[in-house]
Amino acid sequence: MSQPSTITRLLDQTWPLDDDALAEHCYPVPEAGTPLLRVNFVASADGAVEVGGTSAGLSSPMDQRVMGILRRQCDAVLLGAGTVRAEGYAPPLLDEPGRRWRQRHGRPEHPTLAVVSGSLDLDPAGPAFADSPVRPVILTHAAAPAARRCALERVAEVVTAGQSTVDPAVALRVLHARGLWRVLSEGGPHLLGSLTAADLVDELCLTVSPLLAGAGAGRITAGATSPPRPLVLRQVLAAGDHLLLRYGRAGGTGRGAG
Amino acid sequence: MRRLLPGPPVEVDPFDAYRDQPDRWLRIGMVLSADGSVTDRQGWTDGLGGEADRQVFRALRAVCDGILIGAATIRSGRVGPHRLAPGLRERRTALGKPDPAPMIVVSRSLRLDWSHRLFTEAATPTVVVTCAAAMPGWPAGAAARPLVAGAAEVDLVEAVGRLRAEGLGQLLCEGGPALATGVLAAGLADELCLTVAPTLVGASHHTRPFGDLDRRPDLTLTGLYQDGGALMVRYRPG
Repeated sequence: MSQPSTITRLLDQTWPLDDDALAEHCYPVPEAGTPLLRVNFVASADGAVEVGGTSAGLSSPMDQRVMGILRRQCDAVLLGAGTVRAEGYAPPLLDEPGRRWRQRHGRPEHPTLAVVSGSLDLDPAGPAFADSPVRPVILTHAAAPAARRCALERVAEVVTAGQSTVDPAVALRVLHARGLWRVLSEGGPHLLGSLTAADLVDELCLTVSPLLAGAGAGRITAGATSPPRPLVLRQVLAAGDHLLLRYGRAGGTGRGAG
Repeated sequence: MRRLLPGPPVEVDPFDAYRDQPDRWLRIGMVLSADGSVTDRQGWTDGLGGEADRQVFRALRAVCDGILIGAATIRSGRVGPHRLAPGLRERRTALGKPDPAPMIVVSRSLRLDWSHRLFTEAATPTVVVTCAAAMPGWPAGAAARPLVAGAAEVDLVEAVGRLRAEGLGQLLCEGGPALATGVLAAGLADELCLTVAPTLVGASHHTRPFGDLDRRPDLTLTGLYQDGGALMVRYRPG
């Protein structure tokens, strides 16, 4: 296989890709005004979403590179509260070249962090909120604990999206209403489970890491019961032994097609 | 299907893609969903990968000397006797393998439905791998051939050694997860042939392909094919 620092595109042609080519050709996004929910996950070859409790054991330089490209193109990074707690999200979400790319392309310097949380068990003083260069959006429901909501409203815009649970379709509409059309979700599995159950996923970017995780490991979907959602394979990239797959929704509206 | 790796991309026939293998080789062939489950919402595997996977499944069978499956997989009721598709019979014969590969059932308990078509209608007699402790329960007149490996538990290393000694050098393990995990844990797997089906099956239907594996072997990507939305991935473990 090729050197692991090289990403090659397999389905159509084969060539080493720089970041601009990856962004433009491999991970295109629609213009603002057209919604796109893109989900990005790393999994092991046997479908596990974590090794030893976090995704770090599955990650690689290639995966990090693609994550940066996906983040630079999105308007909002959508996360479940558990992922914010487990993965230690700290701003900035983008490195310097990524922020410059956004400015060159007429985007705000930073994507907005959006967090789905029913319990609002989030630390207002934590780096995801306290250090955020853009005021984050927290998507919760009407029955969420009022005291926590009050505390978080000092560091984030807290929006009700559902009565007793967060309705993911309403949550997305909340983001769209704020001009955040191109949404990148980086997990976790429970959030993807609910997005899958609500049939909201337009695109799944899946990095397959070359290892078996075996016993005990969760999958990229968790929680909600869902009918099976057929996908279409839009793209296969290889970087060393890693595969970078991009799926679209099958028989869908064409959102995210490309 | 289209071979993506090794490049450059080219159309290949599944039989040709999987035909060449060393004389002593053990493949694990399984299909899993994009969200990492080997079963769909009905609990079956055969609907997951669609026609592309079925072609690879048939090709993997057509090029091997024996098909290892776990007893639980038989109990699912979806496994029948191995029949070669007409187009594959001549091509298999050309490999020096005139008869269809036997099914090789791994069963510690021998609690099997001996009237199952897998035994009674097999073109090549089905082999049942078990342990010595279970042999008193071997039914008289069973339409299968016992292969004893291990005293109180099935010793997979010994079983594979015996199969190889009989000339069944190129083996295919089709799972289920318990047997595939055992084969991997024993260090017997030379290759993983995984089909990634283009489906999210959702959380409540997950079955892990190697659910009991307590090691985390690294893999080397050795081949990649695509047919429609299905991806066929080949890895070497370790």
